[in-house]
Amino acid sequence: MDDFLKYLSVAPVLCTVWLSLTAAMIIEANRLFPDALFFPI
Amino acid sequence: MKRFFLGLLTFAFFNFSVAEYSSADVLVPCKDSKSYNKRATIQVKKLKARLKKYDPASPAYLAIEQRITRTENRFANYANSGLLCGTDGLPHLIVDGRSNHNGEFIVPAIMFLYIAGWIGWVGRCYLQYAATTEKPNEKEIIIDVKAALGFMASGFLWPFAGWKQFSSGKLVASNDTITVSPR
Repeated sequence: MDDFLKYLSVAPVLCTVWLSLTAAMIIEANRLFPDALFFPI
Repeated sequence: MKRFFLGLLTFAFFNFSVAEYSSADVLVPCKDSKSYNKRATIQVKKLKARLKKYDPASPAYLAIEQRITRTENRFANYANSGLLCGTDGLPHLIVDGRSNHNGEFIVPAIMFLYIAGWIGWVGRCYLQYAATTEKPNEKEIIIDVKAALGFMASGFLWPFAGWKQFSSGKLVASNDTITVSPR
């Protein structure tokens, strides 16, 4: 289990996971607030 | 150096112009722009023409209906928001610092700098932490996730942490530790 967690911590795996989460966050934000040309204040 | 930096910040802060637009300007509010309203009409008309090709309950029909709603909402939001449009019928963002157009550039720019600074500061903190461990090179390829998450959580205070390090002289390395080519 420790070795598996260590594998998940290597830079390429962590990078893939992190960027996937970031992409999902941006996609969802654009789904909920589409066509955001400016910051509404 | 500190005085110069403070002076530069003060100069930049007070130097934003707050001019009002006149009727002689090329840009007009989008809701009053004929070419903008014409674009809206043409886009919705084209989409409605495509609807005729499909059966009412089909996925393509529903998708185009959603697109029509989204297009109408987009044009309505931009028109009601105070955006200015040119003769091309497209919104033009005002980036010269006018307070009534803050949401177009100033706020997004500050948000971008804050987020980019957060990321950079956290990366810097993690690298400095890794340098203090037994195997710094290994810590850079096999990430200590617990430590990294800790740094990421505290990164939101990066402007204050950065200022604190700048004023205490810890932000930059001293000249003695920087190697130079033989003179």
